[in-house]
Amino acid sequence: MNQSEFDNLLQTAPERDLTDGELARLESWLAANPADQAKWEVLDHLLAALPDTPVATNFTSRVLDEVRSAEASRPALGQAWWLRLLAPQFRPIQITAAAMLAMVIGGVGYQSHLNQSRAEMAAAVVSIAEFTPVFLADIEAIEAVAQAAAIDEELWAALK
Amino acid sequence: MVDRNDPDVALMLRVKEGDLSAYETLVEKFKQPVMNLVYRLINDIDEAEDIAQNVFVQVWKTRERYEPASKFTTWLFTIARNLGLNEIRRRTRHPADSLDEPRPDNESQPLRVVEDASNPIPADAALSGELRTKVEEALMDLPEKQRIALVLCREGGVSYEEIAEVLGGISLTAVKSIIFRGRAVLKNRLKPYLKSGEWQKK
Repeated sequence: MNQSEFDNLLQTAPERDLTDGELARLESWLAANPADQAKWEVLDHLLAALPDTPVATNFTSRVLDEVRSAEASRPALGQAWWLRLLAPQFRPIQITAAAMLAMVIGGVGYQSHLNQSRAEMAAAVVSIAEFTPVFLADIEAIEAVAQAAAIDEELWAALK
Repeated sequence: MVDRNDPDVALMLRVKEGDLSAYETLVEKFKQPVMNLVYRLINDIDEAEDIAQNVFVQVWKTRERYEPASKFTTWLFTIARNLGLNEIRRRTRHPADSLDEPRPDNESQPLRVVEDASNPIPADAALSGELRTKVEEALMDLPEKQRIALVLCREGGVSYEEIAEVLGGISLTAVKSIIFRGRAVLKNRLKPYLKSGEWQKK
């Protein structure tokens, strides 16, 4: 690299990234040219001479207040992991878990109700089945009477 | 993995265990560099302070996840950079919003108490008011990455490797290029204001 290359690089650098080769040549140029290195370092001195940004005197106490307040709303670190899940920051998880628990309890309850209904229905079918033969026999006699031929009026009068 | 006996790492490891006095020491030690970075990132002193406080609150809240894989300041400046960039994005989306609304958690404290003139801000007397303003303006006009890199360089003790990590794990070559480009822009912008004869000859 020569002076003109160095100057060109300074002009073009703001517009694009430098390649590894350009950076290497630049570093060796600056190392070999203390005058350019010194000019370059003026910028570092300028930046270093900028004043620090003012910080409020109550900065630290405000941070500590905020941290204490955050700590107050969260369970102690020593607690079991599942107890920490009760902290307010896990509210969405808590709501989801409660909804899922309600669904599971509801599902189990409904299934139990169905099972009970089926058992009751089966018991009813069994008792009907036991009663049916006698009941059907009576039904057949009634049906036989109902289906009997019309009364022979003359025979009925003679019998009288 | 860095040395666990490094003073900052050791301090942060105590914070990780929930030591509030170590945390206070940490805030006191690093509030200035964090404020410098955040302010020069977002260019608004009040919002910079809110964000800087939030940086330390995040440090506390995420302390259990801290592992001394790199220097503590790398972790801290990365949080500061991320929160600063979030604020810039938020402003872009909602330009009229402000962070100045009072927060209910801290009603007992005034929002901001700035040091008075009897405790002056350290500044280099050699840097005239006008030149200082021009340097600040030129710095603020730089793209975010160049600005962050130069501000971190300015803090001293921050290596190029650290800057690479803070900037999202970019390569060392990329960091050097960013810094060179930033300096080149500043050099061009400040040329007329520098009283150093060498520069004015260029």
